[in-house]
Amino acid sequence: MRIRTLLLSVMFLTVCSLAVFAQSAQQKGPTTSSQQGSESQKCLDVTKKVGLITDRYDQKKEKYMNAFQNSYQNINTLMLKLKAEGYDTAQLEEHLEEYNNMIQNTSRYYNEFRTGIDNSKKGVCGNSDVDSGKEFNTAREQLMKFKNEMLQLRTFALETLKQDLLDLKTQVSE
Amino acid sequence: MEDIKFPGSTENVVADSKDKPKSKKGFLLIFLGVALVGLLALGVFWLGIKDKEAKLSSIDDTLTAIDSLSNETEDVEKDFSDLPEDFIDAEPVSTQEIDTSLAELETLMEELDGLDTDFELEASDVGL
Repeated sequence: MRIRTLLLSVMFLTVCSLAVFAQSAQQKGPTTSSQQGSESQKCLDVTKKVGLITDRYDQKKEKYMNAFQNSYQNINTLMLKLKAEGYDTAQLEEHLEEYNNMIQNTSRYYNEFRTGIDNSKKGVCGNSDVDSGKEFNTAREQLMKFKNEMLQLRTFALETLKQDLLDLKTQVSE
Repeated sequence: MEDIKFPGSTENVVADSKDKPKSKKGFLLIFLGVALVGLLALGVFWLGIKDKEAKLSSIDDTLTAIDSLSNETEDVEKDFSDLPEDFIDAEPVSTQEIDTSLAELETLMEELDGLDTDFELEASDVGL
């Protein structure tokens, strides 16, 4: 009698465990696939947003960098011409080198921004083990550095290089 | 009988008339030489001025280019605005939402079409 009761209890417990396991497995299945679905949707959203923003920034960057590089080329050509004719261009030459370094830095910051935002996208899409949030913050920092360097370039051209050219003009007029 | 040569004889007159064109020629040559040197100096001076003008004009052009650079790059701050912190997590704005907003804006603009006539006030309207 006792053995029968024990066997029945064991059977009951086994059936209950199996039922609970089956139910939990049923619940777990759809949740994982919906999670995967939302992650791939997030990847699509992020890819789209990153594409839009980087396309726009790339175009603007091209425009600004061309303007800065053209101005460097123009001033440098003039400086070389005046230097060959014996004018004192040391100050302008030094400042032009500084200006050129700033242009290179600006370009580097932008490339780092692009790398950061691309890594962030890869992190979201699961193509990389990087922390997408951290990469995104790095991208933002680089974008701000890029912008600030461009603002400094602008001020440098308007104040320092312009003054050097005015000094050269006085030298030529004498 | 010995020939007596008088100072005013025809031979002296012939000799004088031969010397005069020579000295005139020399004077003319000197004058031409001085004029040529003068012209050359003037030409060099003029070229110098032109060269200086060209240099000053180049400097002015470069200064103008710097001013246009300032205008071309005045929107840096606006064009490279910071990305929002939640850029990665934020829901993308659907084009449908934009279309709806545009349609609403269009309706609003149509409603405002009568603004001119609605708020027209003639002197006769108030009996003046």
